[in-house]
Parts: sequence; C-alpha cells; structure tokens
Amino acid sequence: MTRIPSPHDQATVAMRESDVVPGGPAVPARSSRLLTRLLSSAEVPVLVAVPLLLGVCAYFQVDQAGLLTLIMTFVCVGLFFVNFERSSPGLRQVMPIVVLVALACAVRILFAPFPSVKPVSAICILAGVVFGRRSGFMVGALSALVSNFFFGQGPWTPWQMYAWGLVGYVAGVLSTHGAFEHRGVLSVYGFVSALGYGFILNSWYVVAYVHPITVPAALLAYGAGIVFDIMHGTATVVFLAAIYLPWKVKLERIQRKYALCDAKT
Amino acid sequence: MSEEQHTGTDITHDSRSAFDLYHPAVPLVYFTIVIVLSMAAFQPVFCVLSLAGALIYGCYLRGWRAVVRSLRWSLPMVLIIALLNPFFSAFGTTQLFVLLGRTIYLESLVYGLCMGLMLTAMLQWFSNAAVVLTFEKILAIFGNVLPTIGLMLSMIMRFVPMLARRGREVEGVQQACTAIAPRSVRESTSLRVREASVLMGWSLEDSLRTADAMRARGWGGPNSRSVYQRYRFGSADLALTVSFALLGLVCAFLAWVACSQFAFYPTITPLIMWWGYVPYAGLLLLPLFIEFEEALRWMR
Repeated sequence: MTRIPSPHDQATVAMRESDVVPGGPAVPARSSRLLTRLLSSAEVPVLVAVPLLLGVCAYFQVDQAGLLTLIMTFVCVGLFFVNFERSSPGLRQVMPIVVLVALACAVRILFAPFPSVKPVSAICILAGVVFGRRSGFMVGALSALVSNFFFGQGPWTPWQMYAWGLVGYVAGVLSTHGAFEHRGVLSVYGFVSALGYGFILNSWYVVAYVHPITVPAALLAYGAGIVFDIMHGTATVVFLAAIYLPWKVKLERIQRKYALCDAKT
Repeated sequence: MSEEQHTGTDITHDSRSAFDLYHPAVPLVYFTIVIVLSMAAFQPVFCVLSLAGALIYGCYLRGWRAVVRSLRWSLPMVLIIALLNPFFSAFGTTQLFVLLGRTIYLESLVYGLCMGLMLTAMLQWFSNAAVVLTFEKILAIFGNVLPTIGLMLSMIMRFVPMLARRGREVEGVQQACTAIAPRSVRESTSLRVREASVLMGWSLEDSLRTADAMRARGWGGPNSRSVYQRYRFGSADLALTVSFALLGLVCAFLAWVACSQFAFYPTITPLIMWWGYVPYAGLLLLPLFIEFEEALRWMR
C-alpha cells in the first residue's frame, strides 16, 4: 500500500493526489494559491456572520430579513463546498465523509417516527473529532441536504445544513484543543450543540416570520421548540455515549490502515 | 429498516413535466426566481397570487389529491401563525376584540394571515420544484461545477439503501449466533450498537477499496465527466431562461412598487385594482402555458 499525500484539509499544500496520475492538473499557479488562501481564511468570518446577521436583522427589524439571512447561509455553505472542491480531495479522503453521511441519513430515516431522535449531530461531532473541522462541516451539511431528499426540501434545508455543519466544525476545533479528553465535556457539548441547532433554526423562524418582533412573541417561538430541542439534546448525548468510543477507535484504525492523512488542521 | 419507511417526497419517481424537454438549468432558474419573489413580495395580493399559482401548478404536476394531502398539515400551521401573531405582536389601530386580557387588532391578524399564506406558497413551490428537478437533473447541473461534491452526493444516495440492506445482513448474522441472543433491554441495546459499528466498519473499508479501484481505472483524469443523460443548453433554453429573467425583473420592480406603497401598520392600506399584478400572475402561470403548448403540439 503506497502512501498517497492527500492534502484534503490543507488547502495551501500544492501537492495533489491527482498529480500522481500522468496528465493530471499541474501545480496550481500563484494567483490560484492566493485565492485558495483567501477563500479558506474567509471560513470563520462567514460562519460567524450568519448568526450576527440574524441578530442585526432582529434588532433593527429589517423587512426582508428572511430572504437576507437565507442568502447569507447559502453563501456560507457554498464557501465551504467550494473550498472543499478546491482542495481537490482524493477519493480516499472523500469516502469516510460519504459513509458517515449515508449512515447519518439511514439512521435518521430509521428514527423518522421520532422526529427529535436525530443521530446527525452525534455523527457530525465524531467526524469533526476524527477527520478535522472541515470534514465535520461537510458531514453535517451533506447529511442535512441528503436526508431532506427523503424528508422534504424547504427553506429550512440551508439552515439545517449550516447548523449541523457548525456543530461538526466546532467539534473539530474543540477536539484539536483537547477539550474532549474528558468525556463529560463531550456530553455537555453534545447537549449544548443540539440546543444551539434548535436555537439557530428557531431564530430564523422568528426573524423571518414574526413581525414586529416582540419579547413575548420571540419567547413563544423559542418555547414552542424547547421540548423538542431538549429531546434532541438528550438523544445526541445518548448516541454519543453509545458510539463515540467504539466508532472513534474504529475510524482511527481505518485512518492508520489506509494511510488517510491526519487532517486535524 | 425497510424501504417503506422512507417518508416525504419520493425521489425516484419519473417527473413528467414539459420542463423535461429543456435543460435542467431552465426550471432551476424559474423556481429560484419564483421562490425568491414569493419570499420578498410581502403584500397580500402578491401572496395570494403566489399561493394560487403554486396550487394550480401543483394540481397539474402532483394531482389535486397530493396537493390536498400536503395542505392538510400546512393549513393548521398557517392558522397557528395567523392567530398567534396578533396575540403576541399586538399592534394596529382597528380593535377587533379582547381575548384573555389582550387586545386583538385587525392589522396584526391580517399580517399573520399573509405570513401564513406566504409560507404555504413557498412550501408548495418547493414541492413543485422537487417534482420537476429530480436528483439526476440537479447532479447534471452541478456535477461538473462541483465534481467532487456531485460524486459524493450520488454515492451517498446509493449508500443509503445499500446500508439498509447490509444492516439487515449484519442483523441476520448476529441473530444466527443464538448464544449471544439478548436477554435484557440493556443487552439488546448493546447488540444494536454493535450492529451499527460492524456496519460502519464494513462499509467504510469497502468504500476505501472502491476508491482505490476507481483510481486504478483512471478516475480523476484531466477530462471533465460525462453524465448518464446528456442535456444540451440550446437556443430554446436560452430564450426561455432570458424571458424568465426579464419577466422576473419586471415583477421584482412591480413588487417593490407595490410593497413600498403598502403598509400593514398602523392601518392597512386599501388594495386597489392594478395592472401591475398581471405580469406576476403571468410569471406564475408560465409553466402551465408551456405544458399546454406542448400538449397542443401533440394533439395536432
């Protein structure tokens, strides 16, 4: 088994897997590298900009807030997709994401009668921890997109893609800083991230569909969802408790066996 | 897990709209324009027009039974939005009645009603778009723009049913080993977790071998990929797309005029007969015109 350098998450590295193929694309030009660096450094600002824009729209009671914030999430998810594409990931880098997303969708369909029991958050977190923050985002975003082909697409799709992507991304960032060494922190993060997921989706509802926004109206919107959010959080903690360690060990073993690069950048 | 448990839209059905004769970008542009306008043009007449257009086209595409079925759960939602808005955002001047110590105003009731109409219209347009823009068409559009993501999406769509099949296989193997048959809830839970882990490991290793096989057969070469069904963006597609875009621009301008003249608060601006609504109605009914033109061509 040859070791193939696959800079899936290290976008600035010029060596690509396809370079090994004769006639594959050459090393990117300097301007293209600059663009790559620019695009990947835009990730964090854009991630932060989405909730920021939601807050600004709510505070100033902007008229077209629903459309405006929806476009912002499109930009955010699109940026991650384009960056992933530009890093020209090798097939081996892509496969773990594909399998994890398919598993997340299959289990979400399996638990379809219980809408709050969603395994997606737990699987995003695991992907973020093992394969790095960008893979975490990709797993979250693609799980939302694909599972909605079964559950029905709607204006909520980009929001779910963003929110689950964020769950995976933050898990990746936290785990590189060693936050998940302690299992308690992991469980707390699992619960809080599910609440945050609900908070983002409810906030979009409030910003887009409640006008003028008043404190009781906003509280009612959040209150209506709180039971589901708590159930989602509990389900995530339970899923994490069941699969985190066995799956992490298994994924890391496969990572070593197939020489997938350790992409925790 | 069985295939019957797939809820929501059936993604494998054959779409049967006149849009099938055009490049998939044409319906994508159309539905984007209509959905954005439905969201942006928040004025009672525009909301009603959008909903009516969505329902009529939905009846054509999906049949009235499917439309009624989808309305059955969205109508209660509309009512909740419509009734809760005046209860919690009590603004306006025309007092209707006092309920539970809160004054209900006509203006915020109408506002909530419009919000509900707009939301229903948008959901209906999404359902219509899901019939026309099948998964294959979406892949055909984005497959060469974002090739890796396109590949991932198509692999995921194939993996979901495959995982279900393999899951049953793993379950069968575990059940065959009667010595480890679960005797308590705890044991049956750990059995399920074990099954899921086996499924994950098996599928992941298998997929990595697939990746190697694909690479060995020249995947990732310099040429762009072909698609199963070829779509050509011809002059008819261009003409239709441009006319959608122009009509959309006109409607956006008219909607902007209508919305800037209209206000819900403090009192609702009276609605008048206006020619400006006609282009929007035309835009919404355009797919039906295309369908009828196509039907006429076949009857001749």
